[in-house]
Amino acid sequence: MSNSTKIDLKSLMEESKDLTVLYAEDEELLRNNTSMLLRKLFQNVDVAVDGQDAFNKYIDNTYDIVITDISMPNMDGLDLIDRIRKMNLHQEIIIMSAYTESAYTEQINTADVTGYIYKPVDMNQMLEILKTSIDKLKDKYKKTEI
Amino acid sequence: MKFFNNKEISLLFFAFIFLTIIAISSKIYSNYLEKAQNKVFNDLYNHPLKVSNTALKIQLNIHKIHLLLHHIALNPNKEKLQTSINQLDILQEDTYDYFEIININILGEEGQKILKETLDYFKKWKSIQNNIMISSKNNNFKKSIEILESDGDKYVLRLTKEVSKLYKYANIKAVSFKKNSNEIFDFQQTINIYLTFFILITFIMVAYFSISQLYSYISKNRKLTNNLKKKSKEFETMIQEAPNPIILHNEDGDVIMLNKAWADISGYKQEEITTIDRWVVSVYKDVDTQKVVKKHIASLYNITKKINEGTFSFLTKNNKEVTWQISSSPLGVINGKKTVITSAMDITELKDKDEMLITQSRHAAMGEMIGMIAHQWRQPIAIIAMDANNMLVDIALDCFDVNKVESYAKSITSQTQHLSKTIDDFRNFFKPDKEISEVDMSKIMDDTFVIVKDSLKNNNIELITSFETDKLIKAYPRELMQVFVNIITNAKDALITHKPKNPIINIRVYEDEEYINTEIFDNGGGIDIGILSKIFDPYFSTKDNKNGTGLGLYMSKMIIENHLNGSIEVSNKQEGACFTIRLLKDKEGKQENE
Repeated sequence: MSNSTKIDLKSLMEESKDLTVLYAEDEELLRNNTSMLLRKLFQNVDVAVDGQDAFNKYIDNTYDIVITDISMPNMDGLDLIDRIRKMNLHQEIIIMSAYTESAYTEQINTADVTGYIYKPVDMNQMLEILKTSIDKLKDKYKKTEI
Repeated sequence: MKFFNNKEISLLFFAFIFLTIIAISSKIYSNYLEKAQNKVFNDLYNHPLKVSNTALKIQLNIHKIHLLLHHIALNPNKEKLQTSINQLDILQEDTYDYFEIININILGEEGQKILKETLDYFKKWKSIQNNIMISSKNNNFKKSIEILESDGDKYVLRLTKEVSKLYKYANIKAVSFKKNSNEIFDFQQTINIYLTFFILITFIMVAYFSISQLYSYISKNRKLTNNLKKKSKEFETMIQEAPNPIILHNEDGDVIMLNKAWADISGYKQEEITTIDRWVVSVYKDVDTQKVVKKHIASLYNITKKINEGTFSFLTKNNKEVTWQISSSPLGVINGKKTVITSAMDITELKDKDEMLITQSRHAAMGEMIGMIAHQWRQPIAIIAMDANNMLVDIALDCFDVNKVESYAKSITSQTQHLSKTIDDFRNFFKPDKEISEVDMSKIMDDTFVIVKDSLKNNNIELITSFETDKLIKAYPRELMQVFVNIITNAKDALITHKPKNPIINIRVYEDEEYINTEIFDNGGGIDIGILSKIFDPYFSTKDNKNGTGLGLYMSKMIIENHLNGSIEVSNKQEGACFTIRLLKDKEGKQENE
């Protein structure tokens, strides 16, 4: 497993190096060590403490990928996704949340997001979702280049 | 109950008075009649006898006079003649007296007529006697004898005839008197017999009437007594066959009756339970409990209306525990003793069911707890996982650094402490309360929040609390926590469903004169009025299946009302439901009572 991860990770990093990420999470400790990990993969990672903070940052900056928790004070992840969608229909969005938040899962339009990273986070699952997202971005950029 | 009615009594009274008067008066009358009859009889009988006797004397005198006349006629001696004449006068006077006697005593006209004729003859004879005396005085004896032999004899014969007629008449009269008086006597006798007969008949009638009345009364009475016996038998049967256990007992502690249901369930028959004390000693093994129960039963004899005594658990003869819900009513004073009827309902099965409900609700509570633990654990586990992921990434990127790894490990350790603490919090919550204790509401709320806070936080629910009192209450803290957790969880569910803009749960603790009140209200839209009255019912749930056992609020009500002697109410406020829990303030000096 560690071998496959290594390979995946290294090849993934080739493509992720230049990407920017906005990461929204209200729980400080988790936010800290998750952002620490994300920063190892991506060139630039911005963090937001809740939905409102994330939305403000999203307005001011451009991000390749938005990773957000669902349940957050002030503005929750779903609300944030709604607002981002209104601004940019093709924004790569990944949800990082607990599977058990069933009250919310029903309301998630799976077409809106690239994937769902479940907490507690399994490396492989996370890399898989990230890779999907990066691949989609790659396609998008190729199209725009043409 | 009377033998006779008033009319009959007066009738009988007069009948007896009448009988007595008749009897007494008849006796007096018959006495009077007897006397009168005796007198009449004597008089009537005496008079004819006097007449006849006197008539005989007159007869004798006639013959004496006739003899003297012979002497006078035949005796020339002057001296002797005068003596004879004197004697003759005396005899004549004598005879007149006799006639007078007869005149007085003679009865009937015929008698008077005979007497008159006789007296006339006697007087006529006197003139002849005078002629003889004159002739003799003149010594004309020859003429004297002549007169004597012609007229004298004739008159003597005639007088003798008349007097004997008189005698016979009187005799006949006497006999007829006797006969008459006999007839009167017979008549009286007959009347007496009739009278006696009449009295006897009346007496028999009265006696018959009295006896028949008496008999009918007695038979009626016997019928009534039988009916009464039958009724009392029916009453006894009713009690005996009643489906619920029933016992009749009085202030002396005697068990008057104990029905079949009582005997069947308890296993003790009436012969074994003759007194209340025996019952108590038989079914309660603990001496202190026996005392308490005896004291309680003794207080029953002063009740004036039905009271519900509550539930009692005791051991049957087979050592099986049963629970009865008992109530008693006063039956008044029977045989001079205050008597009480006690009826029970065997709720052993219901109690078992209750216990089952409690178990179920505990399971339900546990289910909810697991949900809450999930919330509590989600972050620490996510952090631990992310720490591990960081290490994996470092390894994969070949930039494994000792300092970094140390920080990851520290983070992991710290998170496991958090996990462990969460477990302890929840385990404490499930620990049963050993005893009721003085507790501070804010402390209980704090403990409650530890359990529910993450669950609320993960759903972005704000919790606002205000404590307006610091008074203590007596309670089982964890049971109270269970109630609060339950209500808060319900509020949380309502908020998740209704999704208000700013979901809030408000908790306000304040006091009034008697109670410490806890208000828990949310802005989750409230409860439908249609189901508001049912939400405390067991197995009532609005939730589809998730945690919806329908026991949470039922258990909350049981805990508050049965264990803590408080009350729990629900109402709808403007924005949502409001639960109000009232618990008695812990007053000093009341502690020893409980």
